[in-house]
Amino acid sequence: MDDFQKEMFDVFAFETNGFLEQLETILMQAESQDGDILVAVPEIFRIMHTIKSSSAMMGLENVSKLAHRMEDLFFYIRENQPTWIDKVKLTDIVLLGVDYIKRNMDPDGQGESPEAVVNEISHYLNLLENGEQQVVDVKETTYLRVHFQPNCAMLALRAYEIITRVKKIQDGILVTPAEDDPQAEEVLASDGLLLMLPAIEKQSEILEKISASPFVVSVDTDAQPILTQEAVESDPIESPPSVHKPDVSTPLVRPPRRDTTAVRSDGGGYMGVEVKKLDELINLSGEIIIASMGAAHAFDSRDDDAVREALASLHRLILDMQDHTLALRMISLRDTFHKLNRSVRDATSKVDKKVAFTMSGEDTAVDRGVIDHVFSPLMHILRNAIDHGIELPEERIAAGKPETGSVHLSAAVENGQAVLAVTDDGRGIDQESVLMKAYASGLVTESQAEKMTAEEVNALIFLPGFSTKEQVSELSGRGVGMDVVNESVRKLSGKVLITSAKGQGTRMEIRLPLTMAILEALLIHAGDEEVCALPISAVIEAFKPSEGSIRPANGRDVVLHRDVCYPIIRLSDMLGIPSAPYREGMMLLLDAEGETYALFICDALQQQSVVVKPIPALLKGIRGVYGCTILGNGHVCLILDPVDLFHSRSVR
Amino acid sequence: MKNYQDSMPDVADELAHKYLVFAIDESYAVELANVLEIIEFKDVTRVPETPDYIAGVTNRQGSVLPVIDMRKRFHKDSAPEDIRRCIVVIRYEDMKLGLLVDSVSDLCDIGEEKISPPPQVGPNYAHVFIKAIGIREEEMVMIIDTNTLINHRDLQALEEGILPLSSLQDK
Repeated sequence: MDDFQKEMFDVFAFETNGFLEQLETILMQAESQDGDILVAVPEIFRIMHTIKSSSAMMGLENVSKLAHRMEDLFFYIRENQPTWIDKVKLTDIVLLGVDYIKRNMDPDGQGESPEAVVNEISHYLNLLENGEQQVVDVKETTYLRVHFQPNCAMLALRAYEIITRVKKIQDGILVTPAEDDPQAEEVLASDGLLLMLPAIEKQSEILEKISASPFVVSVDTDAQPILTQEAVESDPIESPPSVHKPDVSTPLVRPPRRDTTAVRSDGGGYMGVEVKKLDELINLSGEIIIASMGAAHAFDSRDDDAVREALASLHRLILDMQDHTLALRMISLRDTFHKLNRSVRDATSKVDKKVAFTMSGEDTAVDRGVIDHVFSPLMHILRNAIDHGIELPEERIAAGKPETGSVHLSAAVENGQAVLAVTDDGRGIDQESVLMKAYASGLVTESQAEKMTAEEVNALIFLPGFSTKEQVSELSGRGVGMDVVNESVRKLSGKVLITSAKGQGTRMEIRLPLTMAILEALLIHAGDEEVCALPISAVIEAFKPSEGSIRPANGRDVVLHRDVCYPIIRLSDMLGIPSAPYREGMMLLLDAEGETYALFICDALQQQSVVVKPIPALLKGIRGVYGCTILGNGHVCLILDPVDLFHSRSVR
Repeated sequence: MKNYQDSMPDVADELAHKYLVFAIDESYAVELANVLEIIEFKDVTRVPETPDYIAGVTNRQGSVLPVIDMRKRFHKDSAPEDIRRCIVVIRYEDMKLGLLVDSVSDLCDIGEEKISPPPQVGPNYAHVFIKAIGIREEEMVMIIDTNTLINHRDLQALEEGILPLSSLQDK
């Protein structure tokens, strides 16, 4: 693909991704309390229509074919407004399509055949076209699936008995298989009897009646309809409409989905930006030009004061411009949240739990560099909350909680930090079990265990020992992936905090700096002129070690300060330059995520904001270095990572 | 990254046989098509725990450029104090890399006919990086294969003094 084509494709990718996100948002809103997918049908039709043609232009035949079929479906719905629509199924189908398109946007990829999804769509469309007479709004229906004993004879008779009893309590029910279905016996034997009732209060009475019937083994109250068989009135007064009957029980199968809900990297380097922000930037640049002309003029007139003033004003404008350009990088979390919403929906559908998922603060904006990396840890935490935090409905009821668990995702800005939190009202973390497990695995000693605070115990689940998949228990299940989450967040210079109460619920918080691009740093040096920078947030204290406070211990030096001994790491060692004697330098007490140590340096220079530049890809593996910055004199200065520094040095 | 060699055949043709010649004691050359610019060597910030031939990083127009000290890379002694060295900025895969050299001589044309394959055995390590020998005005110029300058896998082996010739074939 040549450059021009690539550019066109990038634009296509950007637009299409935008459409897909729009679709997902529409669907999520439609599934919420006051939403209705039927309202969005024209829009979905338009989007599919557009994708059909643009993907064809880009040579993505398969995508086009799929979009075409989807367009057909929505055209039918728009034109005919069928009364019988399984909205949940419709949403599922659109999501299937969305996922397929996401997976197949690569122009060079082989692509998978769209047949599977196209067939789903065709199938559903068929149902709509033929099922017009069925006036059952599936969403508001209760399904009961009755299973009979395996060796029961004359199942049809048993089924008839049940139907008769139920009808005495409630009429207007539909059943599958129909009484006159020649295959009724087989279907009853394999799938049981499916009753469809309008959602009613008498459900428990009906359940009782059914359960009391002879030969009944169990009743599913959360049965899924198998939409291939048409539900028929159990009293066939009118002959059932001739219905296209496809194979019995072809249940809806989703093709295995790769993780397509990961945040897309901006479709080929493009990004949406508010026009207002761009206009402000343009204005600023105009002012800067004027100010610099003023500075040149002042310089020519040899007026020192004027020059000083002009430079100060230029400086202010440039700082302003820096703020504005950084702000361009800020994106709201809205898209990320909607993607998470979708993932939660998928995760919930896989387990037999009832979960109400809510979100707040989606308008909170964070740096683009942060957003790309925040999706994955949040997804992990949410999955954990659903898989392991929220209990099964029976457990919840037994615990006196509402049957439906709640999971809440929030975002807010506090003190220059972005705080993203997932709160659930599930079973909470059982700290005693955590401690016991940690102790049993040798991760903590008894004396350590005694002194730990609640937060420290919770933090134990970050240890890799808790996250191994072999340990299948509720406890370690909760920890699955947490070490990965912790590591990802740490890489963003953030922290994960957990608060939990056993039996009540858990709150997991990710705290991140608002922007990756600028860091408050302390400039230090270790002898020579080698200046380094340290994030000031890691510096606890600076002090000059007093006479005799330094002594060797276990092969390294420690310093006694305020009655505590800290291991010493010499910056000069790390830089490979000769060390000065201790009395000629100073110590910085640094926080390395819970561990504290003393960094021996020559001198601390000043505190300043530095623009963080990444280490060149070539040198990525270097430990102890977090990034680089360029100082006022043009010199490149390394930014040290106090945590990495500690871990890479303390092994020696 | 736009590789104008592909989309603009005329320029590609023009650059095809052009080389930038620089000196580290002897004369070496790199294909001009890979050269981005030549900058003054002002200072370099050493990065800890990197091989000694990685001089460090330097500031190039506000971004951080890694720099290879070519003398060290070719296991030569240090340069005399008084020469003003410079950095040849080249394209390496999709990144930029700086080569710290003694001086840059000129650009020249070396036609196909003047190019012969490198010697298989040499007294120093330089031969590992040489992909061809060119003759320019009676003088021998060793043409460097820039892809071999950073070889992650063989970094260790190089330190120990053994570099399999097969590394010249990679990429």
